[in-house]
Amino acid sequence: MLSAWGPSGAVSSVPVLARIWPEFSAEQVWGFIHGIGFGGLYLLLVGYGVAGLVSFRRRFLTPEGIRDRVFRLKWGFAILAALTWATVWTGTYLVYPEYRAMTKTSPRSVLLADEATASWHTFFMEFKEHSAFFAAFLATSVAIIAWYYGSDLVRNRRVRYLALGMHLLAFAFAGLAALFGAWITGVAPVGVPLGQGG
Amino acid sequence: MRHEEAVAETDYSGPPVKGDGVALAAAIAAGIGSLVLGIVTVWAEASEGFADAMRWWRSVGPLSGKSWVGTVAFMVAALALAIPAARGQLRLNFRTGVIIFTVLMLLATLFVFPPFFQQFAPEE
Repeated sequence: MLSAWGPSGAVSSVPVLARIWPEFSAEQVWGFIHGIGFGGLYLLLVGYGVAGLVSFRRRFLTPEGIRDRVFRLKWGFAILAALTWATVWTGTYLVYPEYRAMTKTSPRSVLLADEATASWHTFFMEFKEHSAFFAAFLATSVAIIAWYYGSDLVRNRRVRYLALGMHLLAFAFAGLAALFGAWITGVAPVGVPLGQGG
Repeated sequence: MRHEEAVAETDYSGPPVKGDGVALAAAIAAGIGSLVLGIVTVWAEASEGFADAMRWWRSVGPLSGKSWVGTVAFMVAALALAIPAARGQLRLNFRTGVIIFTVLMLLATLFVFPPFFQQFAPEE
């Protein structure tokens, strides 16, 4: 049974995860769920939102098509917003404690110990840990717009483009956070003892 | 729903039925939440006492408080702006609303940009 959640003690035991992936540590499993599961799925679905908004025009669609697309736009953006929240909260409360643990082998300590890698924490991680929340705020606002306006989005071009702009901005913040997270994991992975990672 | 409104809801060739207010309110709420998170980030960097006050969960550190403050600010702003906007009590020019949103997001991004907020760290 996997019983320890690292020195931070954020989660005392994760027996279910240990049964599913016995070869990985809890930190690695949560890092995978955070970055590849929720975050990766969000990034994959961003194109769905862009295509949905750009092509939501009267001349492209029949009334039946509009009603069908409204349903998918509303739920699509709700799922995108939920994925951003799931990504930032799992990242902040389940992965980040292990990253910043006050031990010599935590990724943060490893990065700061070497002048050549210190900026991976002082710039990339510091920017990512805050700006990722912007993506969640923006994605939620786009979902609010989709649910409130519904079929009216087909008539209101400027609100549709405002939603598209916010959706792309959310993607920019989430994409940067994902990129920085992947780089940092490549240099100092969470859950891997010093000397065995990267 | 009155018959005229029901027809307008399904007549996709007509002008927009709903105003721009809720969309602008949602955009500005995202900007306010982001800016509040940016402000507390700078503040926590400048003041060790404030950073300690933001340590709501010891293992997460000040980010635990900062993230909640930003999230609550976003939610409160969304409710406070979107509900009056949906009732037609809050009117805002579309261009002005987009400019406010853009300025809020630019300031928020600046405030969480490490070379900027690290300038406020006390001398060691």
